[in-house]
Amino acid sequence: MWQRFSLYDVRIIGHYLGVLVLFSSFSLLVPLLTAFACQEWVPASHYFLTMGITLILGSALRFLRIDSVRLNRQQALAVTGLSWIVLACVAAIPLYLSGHYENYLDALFDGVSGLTTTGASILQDLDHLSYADNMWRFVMHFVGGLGLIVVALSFGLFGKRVGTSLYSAEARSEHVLPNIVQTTRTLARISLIIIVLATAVISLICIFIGMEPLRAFLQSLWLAISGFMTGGFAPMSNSVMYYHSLGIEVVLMVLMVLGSISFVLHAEIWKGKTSTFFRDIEIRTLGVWLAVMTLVFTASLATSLHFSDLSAMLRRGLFMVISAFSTTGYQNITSNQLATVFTSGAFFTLTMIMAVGGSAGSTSGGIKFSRVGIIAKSIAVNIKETLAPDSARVAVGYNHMGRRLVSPEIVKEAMTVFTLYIITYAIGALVGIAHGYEATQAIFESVAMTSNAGLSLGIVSSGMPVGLELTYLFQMWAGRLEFVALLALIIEVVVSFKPRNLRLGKARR
Amino acid sequence: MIALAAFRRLAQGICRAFQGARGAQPSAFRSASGIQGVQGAQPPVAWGARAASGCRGAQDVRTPAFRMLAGCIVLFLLTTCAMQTAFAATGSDREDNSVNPHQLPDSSFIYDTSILDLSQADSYYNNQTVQVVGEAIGDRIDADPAGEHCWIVLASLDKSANANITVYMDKAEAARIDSFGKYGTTGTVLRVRGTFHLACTEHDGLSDIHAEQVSLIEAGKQSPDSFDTSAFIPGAVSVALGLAMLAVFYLMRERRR
Repeated sequence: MWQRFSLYDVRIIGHYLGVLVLFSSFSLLVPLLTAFACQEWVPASHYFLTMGITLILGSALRFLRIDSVRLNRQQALAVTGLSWIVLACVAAIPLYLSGHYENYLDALFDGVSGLTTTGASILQDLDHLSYADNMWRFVMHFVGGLGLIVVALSFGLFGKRVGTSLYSAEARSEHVLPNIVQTTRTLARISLIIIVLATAVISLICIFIGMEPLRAFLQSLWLAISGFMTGGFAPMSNSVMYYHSLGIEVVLMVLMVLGSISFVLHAEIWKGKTSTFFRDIEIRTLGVWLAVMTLVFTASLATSLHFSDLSAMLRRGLFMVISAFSTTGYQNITSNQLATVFTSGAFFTLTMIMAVGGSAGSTSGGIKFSRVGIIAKSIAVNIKETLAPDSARVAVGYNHMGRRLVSPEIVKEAMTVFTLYIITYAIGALVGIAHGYEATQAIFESVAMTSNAGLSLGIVSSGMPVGLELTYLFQMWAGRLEFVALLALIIEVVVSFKPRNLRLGKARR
Repeated sequence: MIALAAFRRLAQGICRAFQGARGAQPSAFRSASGIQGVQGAQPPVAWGARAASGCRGAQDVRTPAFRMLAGCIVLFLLTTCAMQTAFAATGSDREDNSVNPHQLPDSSFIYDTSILDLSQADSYYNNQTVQVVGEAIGDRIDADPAGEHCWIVLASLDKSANANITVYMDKAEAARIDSFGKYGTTGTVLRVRGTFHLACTEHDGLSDIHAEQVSLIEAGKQSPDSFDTSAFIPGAVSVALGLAMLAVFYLMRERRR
């Protein structure tokens, strides 16, 4: 029997969504202050208006339930699932007012892309975008990369009476510290420290290559946020190619790798427990997977007429591999080169790398190394059980924050999410093909959207078909929540609208 | 025309020279074919020779005819020489001459193309000389801080195209750019002619144009935002309303406790 939402549940869900919407009005202060500092008066008026709209909307939602209550699991799932789309709708308002989008749906697409750290953009004329609007895009990356719930919890927005249900509903499993609020604050602190350090280094490089100090600082900050949060938005339309700097590319590669490692492992390294880091199943899977795929990619690229040169292969190829596996979406080649100059083998390898993604508990998307590792371990279990006598009990373990056994429940969860990812990749590809695009392009784009990678061959652009745009929007949303939470929410909403079966016949008897 | 007129006079002169008498029929062919039928007439060759040698008995006709004949021949020769000289000077202007021996061999073609086309180019344009027009945007990035080259990004003038191309050019050329496009600024519009590389071997596979000639088409423009108080009124009203609602909410919550 499916759980239904009652009116009481709707009021509580509305109340907590109102809390998050009010938080977004607070976060709009960042681009507003940027606009005032840079004397961009038109964007300033837009952000001021959006602040007012979010204050009204958030307050109105909070009126649905005056007293605060503890969330149960179903309510937490709904709040988490709906918060991404509700906040994206609010975030799209100033983007649409900027005049760089054809319609509100395009702005909503970028809002979802920013919050889910996909990084694909339909924005027109990015090079003439105001500093305030650019700042807002990267604020979305920062908030979305950490997680809306994580940020809200770290600010104590949900009060003291909050359980782990919200945290877990956002596909977060790592517990850095026993207290959830302390965990979220630690995650935010780690992120800020890394971003500040990276900003300083990249700023120096940008000034060295001839940029103005203000532009150098702002673009460095945005690159650092996008790199560590594995977002993919770039300040200029040429992405990382714009800077023609090997130094910046190296720093960004380091950031992307750091961003794709679990926050728990970050905390372990900071505590000095490096052995835990190297024994972890995700790190080992990452090492094997990256080594194999880089070899395959390099071998395939070596047959290309234009990228067979060693320096070109190393610089362009390695960067693209790291950008793909971390699901960041930075490009140091053009989309045209990706489609025409890369060999089909290299192209397909990149697609597979994006599909698997990074580590669980990081800012990366994709199927995740932990699931791939667990599925590989379960294959080992099956083989051992086949070879072992009937009376033998086979146990295979792995290291992930301690020693754990490969149990049927863990394998079931990994296989379920793995299957859902594959199905979504296929559905997105079929929708792209149905809209007339080449199969390889459609598959690549579908994988990029679902894994929140954001690399694009050009299908995602202004004027794309509305049906395809909505499909990709759903894929980004589903990929960020890793399907289960979103599917559960959709089923509960549908069931809630279905009328209950009347048992009149039985009552008469 | 001059040659035709000269030939006509020559023919008339020859005709008179063959006839040798006043009142004879002007037709040279009749004269040539009907010589024996005319009383006192002589064979045309003899007559022509006698005419050419200026024989007695036909002085009134021979001398002017001879002079005319000689004049025509000279005129014809002069005209022919002049025409050959004229042809040599303007040979390629002649519409009916498809070969110009003075054209130098050139293996590259110049494609006057758009930035959008180049952003979607395949190997067809690779290593070809292209010419594009675009707006300089962003910054001048030094290719080598101690060197003489830099990177400029040219954006398509059609903003909906969302296309741009990277140009590798001399710093001296780039110094002529008065502004770079960004918010509130329209950058200098340039025409760049150079060699397009789909994946430049000199620059680790980057897609770029190595500029050979840069021309300024239009100077940049500044259009900064002006502060308009009325633009902030809707925001102020909505913020005030939102804060009021929030205050009411917290008041109601306090009363319930």
